[in-house]
Amino acid sequence: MLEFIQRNKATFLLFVYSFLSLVFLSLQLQPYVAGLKSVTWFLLSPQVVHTSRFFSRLDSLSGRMFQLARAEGENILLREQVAQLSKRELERQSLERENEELRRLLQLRQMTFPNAIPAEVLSGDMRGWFHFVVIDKGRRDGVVPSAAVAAETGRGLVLVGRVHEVSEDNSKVMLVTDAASAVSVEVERSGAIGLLEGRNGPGLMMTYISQQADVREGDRLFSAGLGGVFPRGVMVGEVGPVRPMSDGFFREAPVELFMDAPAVRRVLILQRGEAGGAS
Amino acid sequence: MRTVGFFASSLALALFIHLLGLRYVSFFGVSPDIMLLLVMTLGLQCGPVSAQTMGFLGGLALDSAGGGLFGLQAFSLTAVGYAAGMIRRRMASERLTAQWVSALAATVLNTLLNAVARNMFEESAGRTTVQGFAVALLFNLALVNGMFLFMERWAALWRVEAED
Repeated sequence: MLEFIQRNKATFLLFVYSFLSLVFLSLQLQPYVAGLKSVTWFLLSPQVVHTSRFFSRLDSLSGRMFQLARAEGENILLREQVAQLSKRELERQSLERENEELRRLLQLRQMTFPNAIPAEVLSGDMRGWFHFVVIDKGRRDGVVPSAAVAAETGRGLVLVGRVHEVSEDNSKVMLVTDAASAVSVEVERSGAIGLLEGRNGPGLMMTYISQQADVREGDRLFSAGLGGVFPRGVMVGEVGPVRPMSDGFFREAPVELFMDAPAVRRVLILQRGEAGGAS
Repeated sequence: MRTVGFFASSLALALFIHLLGLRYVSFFGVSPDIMLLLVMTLGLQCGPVSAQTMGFLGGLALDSAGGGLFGLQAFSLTAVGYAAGMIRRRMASERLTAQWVSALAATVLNTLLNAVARNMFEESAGRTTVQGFAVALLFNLALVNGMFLFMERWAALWRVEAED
C-alpha cells in the first residue's frame, strides 16, 4: 500500500487535495468549516492586513504628492489670476473715477451747457512763448474757432481758454494764462467789471477796474460774457489785493485761477453764444 | 527545511503580489492571477507534488482572504498544479511558446473548473463572461514569461530541485 502510494504520489495527493476541497465546498455552512476558514484567515490576516495598510499609506502618500504637485500648479495659476485681477481692479478704480468725473461733467453740461462738446487734452505747448493745449476734437466734431473752453473741477465749471485753431480732427486751445488772452470778467459779489489778462505764467491780472467799482481781495470772478466769445457765468478765479494801475486812472488786482490750466486733461468746448448759468 | 522555507516564502510573495495586482491593476474587474501562474510554473519546473501542494495551500489562502466559496480556488489550483506537473517531462518549458501555451491551457482549465464548481455549489452563481476570460488570458500570457524566469532564479536561490 505504501509502496503504491509512493509510486503514485502525485495522483494520490490529487485525490486527497481534491477531496478536501470538495468537502470544504460542500460543507459551506458547517461551523467547523467556518472555523477552519477563520483559522486560515487568522494565519494569513497579518500579512493581508499589513499589506493593505502599506498600500493605504502608499496611496495616501502618493495622493498627497499628487495634491502637492497639483497645489503647486494651482498656486502658480492663482497667483497669475490674482495679478490679473489686481490689475483689473486698478483699471476698474481708474475707470470708476473717470466715470464719476465724466458723469459730473455731463451733468454739468446738461444743466448749464447742453450743447457743449467734451474733449481730451492730447498735448500741451509750454515753451514759454505761447500757452496752448491740443484737444482731440475738431471741425468734424462741430468745434468752431474762438469757442470757449472750460474744465470741470470740484467747485464746478472753470474757464480754461478758447479755441484758437481748428483742424479736421483736433484743435488748438489758447489758455487764459497766455499773454494774448483777454477775458471780460465780473465780480460775483458786486457785479464790477474788469479785464482778465494772461501773463504767460501762473499769475493773471484783472485790469481796468474802475475807481468806483466794488472789488475786494477774495472776491470770486466769473466770465462776464461781454464780447460774445465767452459765455457768462463760468468761474474763473479769486481776486488778490487791489492796487492802482500805472496810468493812475484804473485799478488792477492779481487773480488766482481756480484751476491749473496747463494741467487740465478733460475739457468742455462751449459753443459760441451759448448761454449758461453760474454753477 | 529548505523546501518548507521555499514554499512558505513563495506563497507569501505570491499572495503579496496577488493582492497588489487586485488593488492596482484591474481591467473590466479582472486582475492578474499570480497564484495560478505560480502553481503552473512550479508544476512545469519542479513537478506535480510541489505544484499541487502550493495550489491547495495557495487556493485556501485566497479563499480565506476572499468572499467566495471556501475551497473553490484550492480545488481548481490543485488540478492545474497536477496537470502542469504531469506534462513537465513532455514539454520544453524553457521555450517562450511553450510557456504561452501552458498559460493558455492553465487559464482555460482554471476557468472551467471554477465555473463547474460554482454551478454545483453556489446557489446564485454568476456567469464567467468572455470579456473577463479574455482579459485574464491576456494578463497570464503577458506575465508567464516573467514568472518562469523568476521561479527559475528563486528555486535556484533556495536550492530546490525538481522531483524525480
